[in-house]
Amino acid sequence: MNGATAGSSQGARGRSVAFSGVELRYGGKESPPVVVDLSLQIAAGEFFVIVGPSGCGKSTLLRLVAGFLEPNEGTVTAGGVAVTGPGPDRAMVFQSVDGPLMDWLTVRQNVAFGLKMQAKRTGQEFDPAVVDHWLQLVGLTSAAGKLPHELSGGMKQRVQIARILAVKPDVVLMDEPFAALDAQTRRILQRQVVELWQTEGGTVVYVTHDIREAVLLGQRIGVMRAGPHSDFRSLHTVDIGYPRDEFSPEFAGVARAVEAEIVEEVTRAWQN
Amino acid sequence: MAELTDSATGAAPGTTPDPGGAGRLRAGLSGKRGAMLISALAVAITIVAWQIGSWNYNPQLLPGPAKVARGTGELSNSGLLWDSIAVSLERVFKGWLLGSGIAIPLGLLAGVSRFARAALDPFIHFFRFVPALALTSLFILWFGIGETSKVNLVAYAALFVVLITTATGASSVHPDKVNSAQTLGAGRRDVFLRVALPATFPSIFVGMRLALANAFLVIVAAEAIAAQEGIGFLIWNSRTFFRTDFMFVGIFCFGVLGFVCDRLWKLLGNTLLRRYLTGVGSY
Repeated sequence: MNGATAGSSQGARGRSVAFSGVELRYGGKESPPVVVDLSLQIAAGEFFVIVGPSGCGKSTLLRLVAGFLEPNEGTVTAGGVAVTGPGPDRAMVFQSVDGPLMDWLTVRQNVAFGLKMQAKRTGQEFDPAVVDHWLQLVGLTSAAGKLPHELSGGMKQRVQIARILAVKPDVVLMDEPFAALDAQTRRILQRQVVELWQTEGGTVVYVTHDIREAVLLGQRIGVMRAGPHSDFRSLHTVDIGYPRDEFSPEFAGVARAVEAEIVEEVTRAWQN
Repeated sequence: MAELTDSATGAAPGTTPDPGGAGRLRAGLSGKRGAMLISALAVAITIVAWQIGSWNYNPQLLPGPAKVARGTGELSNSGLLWDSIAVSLERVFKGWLLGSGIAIPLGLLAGVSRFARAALDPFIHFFRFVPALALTSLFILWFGIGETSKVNLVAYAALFVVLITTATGASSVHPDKVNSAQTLGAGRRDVFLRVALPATFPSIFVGMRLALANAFLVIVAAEAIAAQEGIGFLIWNSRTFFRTDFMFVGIFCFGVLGFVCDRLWKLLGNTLLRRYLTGVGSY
């Protein structure tokens, strides 16, 4: 289905993301497709949240945009250019707390990693001040010399966010980044993500299974159908200003509508 | 005390209560110092038992610790002991480093490239079952009776352990690590050098540690034939003169040297390589 693009206040930076007629199979031609004829437009600078029942293919869509997966049919584009592989213009924050960080690098070195790659690519000089700036923004200045195994889960996710945003990607992909964290840490980081998006700009595609989180963050929410074929069931525009009050009637209204749809999808999946 | 111990350990009702003295002793031996004390005690008891046992046997079959200590003094004073240690250690280290030096690049290649793995697999799994001892005579034919054949034999023995652990490590690097490096702009070369290689260090470290024991194992065989010095030679040569006590000295040398080398390797892991080995256990 084609979603209407929501108006965005963050047009300064970021690129649009589009799926058109995407089909994906894991394995050979005989294996059943997991995504069939999926189309979606995400505007440049938009904060788009994908929700849906477990196993519906939310992360698969992010991996297609990141370039870790290639569609069998159709195209995925970022800024109108077809995605052919991973690249620093579409950086990803992973759900896994322990996997993505380089265990042998300090917090500072982890944040510097992408910047050094960038400096190497562009031939410009690496600027350590940028690392300091980002460490300060995510509150990790005092932990700069620590190794990842000395950090809490929330701190590790802040390292991930800092090192991704430091390279100023046009599209930020976030795959349930706070799912493994405790409720308090999650709240603080959710607020921080919105603030960073508002100041830094860029397009965000955020996957979650938490409806409250979806309504708290997204300008638009795409609800996915339960498998076997991944597709969007509906798109909700969340017309509430940031920071959002989760106890307001408007918030509850959107959350209720999204929840009703997901419950329906889960029930349908169980009956199949 | 007995009741206290029971409730503290949460023992099920009906189990025999701990005698008070044993409980206190266990508490006293639970720390790191306690563990060292137990180790020292076990060694002391064994030595005493050995000494008592040796009185019942012909000293040429089972020399007691006192006789072995005198033998050690004799070999030490003549300088033979220290020369033998130096020669054997040199062979062990050269062979171990040579074997690891060949195994690490091959293992990395087999770990990251499916093509390389398919090509290497038949050879790895064929030769790793061919014992180094079976190749002793062949190596002497090929590499002569000098140092080369001995070092090569040790290298052969060390090679496969390091190769397999390295390949396993390189092929099991967390995919999110590679993916995240890619989305941060790392190309193939940087992904290999800055992600896959350091992420494989723990496996290489463990593999080299295991290979070190293999190297010691093989040096005896390497020095059994066509050697004029070394601890292995000392053991074989003692047979000729019926100096069982010298054989014991040689055996102890291997045990002590292996133990010390292993501790030094671990020390290196706990200091210089520490940041790469956060995922390796402390054993």
